[in-house]
Amino acid sequence: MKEFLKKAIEIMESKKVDFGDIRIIDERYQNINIKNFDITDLKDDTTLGFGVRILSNGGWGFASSNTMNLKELEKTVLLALDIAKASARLRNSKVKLAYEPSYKDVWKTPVLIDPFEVSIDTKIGLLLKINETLLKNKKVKIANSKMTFVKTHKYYASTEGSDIEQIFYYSGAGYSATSINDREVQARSYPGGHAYMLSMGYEYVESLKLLENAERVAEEAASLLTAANCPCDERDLIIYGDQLALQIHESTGHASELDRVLGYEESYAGSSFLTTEKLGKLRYGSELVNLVADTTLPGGLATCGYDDDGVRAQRWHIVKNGILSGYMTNREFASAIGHKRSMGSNRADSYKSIPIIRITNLSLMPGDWEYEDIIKSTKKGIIMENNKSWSIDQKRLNFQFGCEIGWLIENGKITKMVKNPVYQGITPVFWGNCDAIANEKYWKLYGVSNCGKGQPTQIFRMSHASSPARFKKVKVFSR
Amino acid sequence: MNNIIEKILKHTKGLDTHIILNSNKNSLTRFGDNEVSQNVSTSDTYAYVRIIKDLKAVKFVLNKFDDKSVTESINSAKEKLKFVKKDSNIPFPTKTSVKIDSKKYFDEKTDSLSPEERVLKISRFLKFCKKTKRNAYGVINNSSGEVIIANSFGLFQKFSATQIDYDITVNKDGFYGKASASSFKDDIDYDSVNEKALKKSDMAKNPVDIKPGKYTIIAEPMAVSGFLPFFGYMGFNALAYYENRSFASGNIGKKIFSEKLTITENSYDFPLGIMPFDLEGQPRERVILIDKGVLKNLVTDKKTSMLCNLKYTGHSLFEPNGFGAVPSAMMVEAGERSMEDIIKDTERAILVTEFHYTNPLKPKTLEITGMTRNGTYLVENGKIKRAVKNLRFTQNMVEAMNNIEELSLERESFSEYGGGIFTPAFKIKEFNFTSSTEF
Repeated sequence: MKEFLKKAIEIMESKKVDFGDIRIIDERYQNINIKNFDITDLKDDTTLGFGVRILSNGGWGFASSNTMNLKELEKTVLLALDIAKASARLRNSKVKLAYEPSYKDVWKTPVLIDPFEVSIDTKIGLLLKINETLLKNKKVKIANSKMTFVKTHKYYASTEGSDIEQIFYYSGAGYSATSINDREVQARSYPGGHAYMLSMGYEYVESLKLLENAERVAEEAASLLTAANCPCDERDLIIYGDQLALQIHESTGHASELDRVLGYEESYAGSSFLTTEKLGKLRYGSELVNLVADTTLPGGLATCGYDDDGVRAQRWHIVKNGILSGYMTNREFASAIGHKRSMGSNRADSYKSIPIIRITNLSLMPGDWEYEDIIKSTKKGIIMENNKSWSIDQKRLNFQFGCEIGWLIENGKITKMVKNPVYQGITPVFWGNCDAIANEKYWKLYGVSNCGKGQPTQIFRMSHASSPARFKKVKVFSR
Repeated sequence: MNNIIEKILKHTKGLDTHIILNSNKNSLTRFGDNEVSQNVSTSDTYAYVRIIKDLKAVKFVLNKFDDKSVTESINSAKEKLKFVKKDSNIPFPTKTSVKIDSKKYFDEKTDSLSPEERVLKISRFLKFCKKTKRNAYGVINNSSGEVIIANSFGLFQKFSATQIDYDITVNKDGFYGKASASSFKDDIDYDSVNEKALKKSDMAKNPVDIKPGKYTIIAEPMAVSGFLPFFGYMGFNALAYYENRSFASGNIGKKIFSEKLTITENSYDFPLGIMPFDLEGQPRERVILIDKGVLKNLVTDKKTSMLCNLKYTGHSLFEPNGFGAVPSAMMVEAGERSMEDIIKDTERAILVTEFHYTNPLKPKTLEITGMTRNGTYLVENGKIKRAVKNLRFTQNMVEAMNNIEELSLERESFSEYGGGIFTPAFKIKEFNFTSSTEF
């Protein structure tokens, strides 16, 4: 691989490009799905390929291939150069990259148990046992259990002299129980539909207590069929885990991606209300709200040594004491708004994708409340768990989330389960009404493994940690 | 391509082997703020392989085709067979009954469109936007692909196609308008698409607040493409029907939608190149899904055709899977009058260009939420009166399909979820908007 990288850089340098880099990605992806005792997916994929990025005359070009020989390498580099030249014909100004030193380094996700060393038999055995436990409840009609493991070996070199090798591990496991009658379908999942992966080894699967939670999950899925609907009114909302992770993801994460802020994602996913004149000034949330981006966070799905610009991992505030304080940036757009350095948020989901700004690990920092005290001090409220549906407008203001289950709170006590809970809000109003966040004892990391962005669409992973938090006066209803 | 198939079949002798060999080239120029922001080209070949022995199946994907990599992948899959339990519903092998080798939707010029040609196609209009203090964003994307489905029983189906997609959003002072077009060959009328986006943006200025509530809407084809695909994979999917989680469950033969609605699954007459066989190599059937509001048929894959005792319609994904069968080319029958005439006869309605970030809440009633985007207007007394601020809808779509007042004569095609839809605009009464936004 090193020779291949070296040759690519030699070709780029001989063409006198402004900047060039190459990523080789060798990946193994294993997935097992079991549905009602049938193995609906058992696969073990291996892929290898490379992507070349060239900046010439101030325009970008990117080309990729999965044919790993020198003839194809040269052809691909020349294609990327042609594309860059074509791009340069239609630019308002030349692309300039924020400074970054060159690095020679090796980085690896720390793992205790290599997930690919654990036998398929063990994995299938556990997933079947989960199916069995879920289906013991006669109201559960569909039991789904799954595991996913990924090992990504990435080699990076640039014309600036960087030479970086990184090995990433991602492990995930989870399940859902679905109850169905003639009128409706209800489902509960564990640990959550979006939140089943982290950047760890098989030890993550062992830590999840999958079987220990299965009976409860099945019982809740069954009970939802006869539960009352969520009331339609305004009340205090308590969210955590999978749902709070998605709230952070959609209303803060995407809104703080600098390419969106500058309008370069407008044609697809939209832009953002967090425009640059608001940096350091906009009250995004209450004073309790601190949202921190961190690509060094252990276990985070966006944790790395370096991003795909070759920028070293770091930690910074997006929202500090409620004020908009930063963006997710890459070298191109950091430079475009006059920042000296990139925060290192440029990532591609595969060798065949151009790196773009992606949400990194973004977490709501803990407050000082005991969770029990948040509930005790809530007169009229609702707890909502695990995301079921999500939607937000193209500037990341008006959002609506549906959850799997809700629990009403009356006068400081949890009273009853409700089904089909949905809440709706406007981002800065919602975060502005955050009046309680539980302490670090409850702070937990959740993954989002299916985030889509860009054209062609890229699907990638990141994590969001949080403690349970309360938001005042939220519009809730049943759907 | 054939060498790769031969190599895999050679190394899997004695097993029931199924191969999907997919070779793609995709080139995309993306622009924003009136300049090229991304410009990419990828080419790759992937083999999706399933081996079956004694009613046990294992799948794998590879894109390394040297002897060592192929052997390693196959040996690893064989090893896994030991741990898989027997499944009596395992996909049965497809024989070569109807051999297909289609290049009907392949256009050489579209395949070879250069980065420079793509940039040239947009440069004049982007310069105009810059000059007139507008911003343009969008993509021009040309792609080509070849799919071969082969198995150890002699099946060999082949399909090659090209496609070009263009979409453009114009923004003037924060007021947006969008238009798009797709074709299998480069015959797109770029000026007309640009003109449409420009007009929509100009009409979008100074939007007024409108109170959320029930309104008649005229959803343009692009807006329809935001909700119609859910009917395909959540409704007409025979597995969803079998598991009693679809609006179709228990309703075959019944009138469940407005008599104005007829939907046919038809990959043969679709304007874009849709593979005429499924991922098992079975030729796709033309399937009448909805006939004047009556639910007639579903699409099936190998497994669900057995489970539901329905005809196998040729809509398998890569089996086995837990997802079921999905329509690949849903064509909605056109209405009799043009959009212009429909608007002329409308007393009051909201005209929607696009629905954004649509997502289902309830599978059985297809309750869906989403936002309007890129041009939302109030129609009053037969005219588009003014722009309105964007709205969120939360709507039972089965109910909405019963509230169809009219469909337009004009239809547009869109690629969605690996297949396509070809649809007119829908005029629907009592459509439920639940909140608004600030722009």
